[in-house]
Amino acid sequence: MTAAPISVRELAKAYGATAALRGVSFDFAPGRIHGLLGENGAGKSTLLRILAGAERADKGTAGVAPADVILAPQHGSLLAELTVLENFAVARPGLGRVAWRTVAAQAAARLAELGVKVDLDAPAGRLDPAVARLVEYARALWLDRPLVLLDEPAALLNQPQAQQLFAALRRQAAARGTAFVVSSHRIDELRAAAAELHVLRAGAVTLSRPRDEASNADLAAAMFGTAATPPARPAAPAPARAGPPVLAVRGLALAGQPQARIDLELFAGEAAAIVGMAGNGQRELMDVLCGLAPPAAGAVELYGAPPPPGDLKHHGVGRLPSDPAAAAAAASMTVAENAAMHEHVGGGWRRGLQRLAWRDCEARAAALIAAERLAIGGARDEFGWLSGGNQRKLLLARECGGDTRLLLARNPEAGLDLQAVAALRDRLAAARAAGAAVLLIAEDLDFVAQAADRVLLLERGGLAELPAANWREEFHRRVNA
Amino acid sequence: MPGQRRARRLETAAIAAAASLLALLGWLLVAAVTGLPAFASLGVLLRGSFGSGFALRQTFEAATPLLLTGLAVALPARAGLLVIGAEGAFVISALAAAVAAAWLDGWAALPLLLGAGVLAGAAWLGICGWLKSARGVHEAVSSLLLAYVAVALVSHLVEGVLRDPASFDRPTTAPISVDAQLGSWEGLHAGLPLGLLACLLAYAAVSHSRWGFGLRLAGANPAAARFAGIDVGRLTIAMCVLSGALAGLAGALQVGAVAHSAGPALALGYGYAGILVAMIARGDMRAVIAAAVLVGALEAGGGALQRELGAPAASAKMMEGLLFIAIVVCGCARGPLARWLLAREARR
Amino acid sequence: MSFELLALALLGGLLRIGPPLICAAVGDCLTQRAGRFNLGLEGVVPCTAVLAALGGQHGAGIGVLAAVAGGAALAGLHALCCSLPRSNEIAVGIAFLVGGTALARFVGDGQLAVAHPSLPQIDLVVEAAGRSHVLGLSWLLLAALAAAVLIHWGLRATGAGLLLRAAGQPGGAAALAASGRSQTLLQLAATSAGGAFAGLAGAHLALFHPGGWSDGLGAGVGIGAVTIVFIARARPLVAVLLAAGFAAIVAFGLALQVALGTGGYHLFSVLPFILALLVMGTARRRPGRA
Repeated sequence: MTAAPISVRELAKAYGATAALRGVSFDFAPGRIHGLLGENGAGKSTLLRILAGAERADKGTAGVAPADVILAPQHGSLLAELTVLENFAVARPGLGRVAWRTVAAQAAARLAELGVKVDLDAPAGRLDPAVARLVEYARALWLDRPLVLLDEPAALLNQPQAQQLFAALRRQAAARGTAFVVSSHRIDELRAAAAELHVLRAGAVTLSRPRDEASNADLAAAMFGTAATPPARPAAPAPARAGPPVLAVRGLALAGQPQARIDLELFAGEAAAIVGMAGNGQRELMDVLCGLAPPAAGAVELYGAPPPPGDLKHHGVGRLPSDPAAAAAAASMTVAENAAMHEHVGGGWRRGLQRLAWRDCEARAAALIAAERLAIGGARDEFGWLSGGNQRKLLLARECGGDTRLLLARNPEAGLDLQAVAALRDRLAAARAAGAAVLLIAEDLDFVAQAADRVLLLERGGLAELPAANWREEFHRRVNA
Repeated sequence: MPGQRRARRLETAAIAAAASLLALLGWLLVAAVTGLPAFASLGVLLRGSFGSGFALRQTFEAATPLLLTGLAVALPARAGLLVIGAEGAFVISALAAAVAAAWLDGWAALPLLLGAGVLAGAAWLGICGWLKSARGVHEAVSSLLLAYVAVALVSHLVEGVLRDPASFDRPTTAPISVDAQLGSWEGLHAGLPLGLLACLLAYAAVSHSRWGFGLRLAGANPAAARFAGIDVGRLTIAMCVLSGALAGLAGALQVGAVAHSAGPALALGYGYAGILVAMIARGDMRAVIAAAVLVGALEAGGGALQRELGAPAASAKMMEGLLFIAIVVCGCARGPLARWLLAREARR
Repeated sequence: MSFELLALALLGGLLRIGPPLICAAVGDCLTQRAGRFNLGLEGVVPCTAVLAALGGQHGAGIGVLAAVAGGAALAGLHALCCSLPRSNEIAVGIAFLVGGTALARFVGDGQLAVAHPSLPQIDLVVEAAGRSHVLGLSWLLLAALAAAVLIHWGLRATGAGLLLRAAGQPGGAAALAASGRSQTLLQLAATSAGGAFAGLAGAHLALFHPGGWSDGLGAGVGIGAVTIVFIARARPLVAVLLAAGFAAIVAFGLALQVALGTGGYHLFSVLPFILALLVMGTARRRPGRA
């Protein structure tokens, strides 16, 4: 193939104050498989979404029209209520009668190529997740566009399935001159499959070479950075355990993962982090711990007793869900109202008819704004008008405030700039120093290294403690296994 | 920086002005098309609603039930619920009140009338609350269907077992006992101060109590309300029950003070007009008062149009409908408009 | 009173009450399949009935055309409002419900006495109780039934049908955008089409023999259709059957009143609504739908 490569030039994209891509350039030669490596949050998905036209770049050119691109996103894009065959047909333009026989024959051929046995008339929503993913890739091959993007294709596939998929990609690349971009966080997986390897770290390209010219060490250094192995600032060692655990999880099973069980004890002054690839039960675990969903089995105990009903903050539990502005705040209410949310709810009818002390509440909110040095108008501003960063700072301060004895946070560092991450780390450290227990459910390992002294791995709804000395190596070994 | 709040106020004013203008233009257009003197009709409208003592009494007479039915929509709306079936609760409770008060004399008759109305309305719309919280049926759909059911049920009963043999072409129930009747002066009755009081109490509860805070939180973001430990399902049922109780009070007062008996003719659309009142008030319970007077003025003015210009009987409803659509259409600019205003101020 | 006459009255009532509900329901299947919930249909139907009555003064065909065009325009306006970023589908629907009903009552006032040419119909001659009776079968009903079959087929067999179904699903907007289509435009088209069918309903109400407009005409048709289609999960043939069943209940009440002089007509006319509430109240929760 001598066709010109697809040239991506200086693509940049920021979400609020956070840069997801900082001016990246690639040449994707046709007829080859390009591996895109990077940790979670490195910018892989953002890049692919921009190339597919699902998002607009702030700057730069993609070098390809969205109509020439097909993206198979990480979490799938089949329409659940349509059948497998209809999901094929709906992706091709045309309003008239569908040539079902032709489509069925072609779809069956593509599916067979990937080794998928599936009823073409089954609703896509009922498929096994791995099968659904393969159906999506078969469709991407069938659509036959010059640039095909697969986001984390191997995440749900087993070894033979992945090998068969990559063999099919290679055949199509050779026969049709298709350029494939396959993203992953696993080096060995892409080393076997891709002809060229590109590495993203924190929104910038750190390596771009043919496969044979890049050693695993080079790739790891490009992915994790050199400062990865020793934590930038080790968390304080855990104090001696005294009294009952602040949080105890006993035999907990999560919705959708009925076999696995989670056991965990967290004592005052400890900071633990639960790591793992997204989609292994993090959201469900956080919901159960926050009292927003009942456990499928097992129990959660606070201070040695079942958690009381009502607002957990009244019992010293601060919670920071992964999107706190959407899950724990009201955009159309004022900053003061959001800041004082926990103080204003609960207490039954008699307290319900009590008067709200507005001035008091606004004065305290103003003090909070000053203490956090938030660059906002005042306590009466609408919360929804604050920048994303300020919203998070405010909610973090709210959840840490008062006599917080347990702090639960999921991905608290995501989307924060370096300064804000440092402030977050200091705040968590201060909470620990004051005797609170901290539990993080996080994906950013750098942050975990700075903020936690115990690390646990969540995999398929089960929890395992990683050795404190070399948890990071152990994490990569287990995830890549 | 009070700029943001100023931008919000400017935005509200601009949207209100645009909606009024749009509704006015719509009315002029409709009037011109149907052969009414378009501009003269505006004068008649104004005189017929505020121009004389009689006009004012008419306006406030119409506004009296609207205070309560408007509140019956505005209060649950603050909790994020679109309960639009106040009409059903209104007629059902009117019937319940009329039946309860028909057979009792003495001091207990009046409390019985009001109590029966309130309870019937509360139970009626409580169904919507249960359907929503337990079954996920949208409260707008269920309350609307129930409104039709209520009117039919009242028609059935009043034309059947509950019919007063003395009522001829317009069947009604037997008149309520004299002791249950509320005094009224040319259409104005105890419902007016009661409605005003209800609005002020609702304002205090919503904006200045802990309970109201939870209510507003649930309306602004149910996920956040759950996060703060509020039982949103129970709140949903409570708000529907409260909505029905308010509409029921309106129905009972209408029977006690104006109609003295109940029948399908009571379904004059006070419940539906209450939706417009709530829409104009935009979640401010104090503003329900002004909005009810405004819609009451349209009702009174519509009557004047009919008397003086021979306009169709539905003139008032027409103006209300136009205003309704105009408010919804213009309301879509909320948010972006305020941001634009703020940005413009910042540039200056 | 013979059973024959009761059956005759039932059939006659069904042929009168059924078609508007069936027309509106068939069209709303398109709307709800595309993921829109048009509560405003309740206001659109009376408006189109008035339009049909007005246009019908120049001929039945003009009346039908006016109603269909008006219905499509009103529903399109609803969809346009709903496509704005911060609008609430239900609130817009309520506005159209209240506004449409009012507009119909206002414009329709005074149309009552005007005689209209009736829609062409097929006369069914039925022998009952020793006499022959003529029942009119409306062409609009046949058209709506044909449309239901066509939509049933088209939703499965054509690209347009697939796109429409894609538009009404979670993730549909992204999937459509990936193949270069706009969910908003599809929903606009589907809602307008639903309005056009509501226009057929209005035309039948105003132009089916003896025709004319009266206050309150078409009340309950729109909300009934929307509820039926919701329960039928927007499957057109199921919706037609449900609509016919609903109409049969109402017609039965009417027939009882005509044939036996019993009361209860009011209750029969809302019995479908009560049944719908019971069905929705006992059905398994379906997340994500209104």
